Amino acid sequence: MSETNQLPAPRGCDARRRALGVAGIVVAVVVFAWCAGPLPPLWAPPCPWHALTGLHCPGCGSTRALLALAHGDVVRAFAQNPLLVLSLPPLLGWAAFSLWRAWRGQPPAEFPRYSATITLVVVVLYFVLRNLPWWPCTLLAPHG
Amino acid sequence: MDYHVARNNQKLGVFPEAEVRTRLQSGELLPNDLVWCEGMSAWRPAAEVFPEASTTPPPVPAAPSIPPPPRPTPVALGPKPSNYLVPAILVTLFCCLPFGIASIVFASQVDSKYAAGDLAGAQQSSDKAKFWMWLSVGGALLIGIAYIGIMVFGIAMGGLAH
Repeated sequence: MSETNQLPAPRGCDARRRALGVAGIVVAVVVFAWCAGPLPPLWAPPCPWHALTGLHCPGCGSTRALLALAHGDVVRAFAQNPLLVLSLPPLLGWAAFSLWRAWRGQPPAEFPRYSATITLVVVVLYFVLRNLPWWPCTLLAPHG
Repeated sequence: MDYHVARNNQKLGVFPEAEVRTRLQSGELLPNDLVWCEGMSAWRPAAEVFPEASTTPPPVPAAPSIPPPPRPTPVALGPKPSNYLVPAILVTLFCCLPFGIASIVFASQVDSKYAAGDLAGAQQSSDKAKFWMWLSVGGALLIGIAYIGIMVFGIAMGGLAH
């Protein structure tokens, strides 16, 4: 039975603790965003990429978008970082699904085969498009 | 009680006890498949755990004098290494450093290499995805803390000057 010893016993408790940790972080971020007010505090660090290059990275506007969302202003959140607003529901859905699975002692849900490649294409396209100076592209850059 | 089921060092899934029994009876699961549930110290053959449900008796060594035939070595791949896709997306969206994109590049390599049967390569890409993900987190934390420190220092100096 050498084969038996090579398989590690699944550890449900670890997964549960990690899932609880993730849920805790999400709650902490929401509470913090709600307490911080609708605009980033003055001491909030700017995006170093934007400070160095003047270009908008895929994450530029995330802080403002999150704070706007926490205060119920979806329109302003969308104006700051539309990709963030669009990716939050699937990310939170996946987190909730994984939490439920962790509770039943199962590993987190697997992603479909090409999800990483599709994500890469979307993020790179978004990175390029939101830095172009022409009209529909300017809607992707933080504004308003 | 849910049972984890494995064959040839690969997990087949997690099933409730009743389902393991029906699948054993239908022949979908084999008596030699390994099962494990919370509370068991090690994986054991399904035939030992569910003797009444197994369609064929568990393999019994014929005679001690004759060595059992060598088991065919399984060629199945191990479990797929994590591609760290979710943390990579999170650091790309929140850490403002383009390192997150490198992490997503390696995440997609994990998938393609694993699909091509290259487990070692997939593991390497997994390690790189993890490295760039943490580099992004660390860089963002470092810059953030330094920036807040400089702001506090500046405010303190401004207070002294007045």
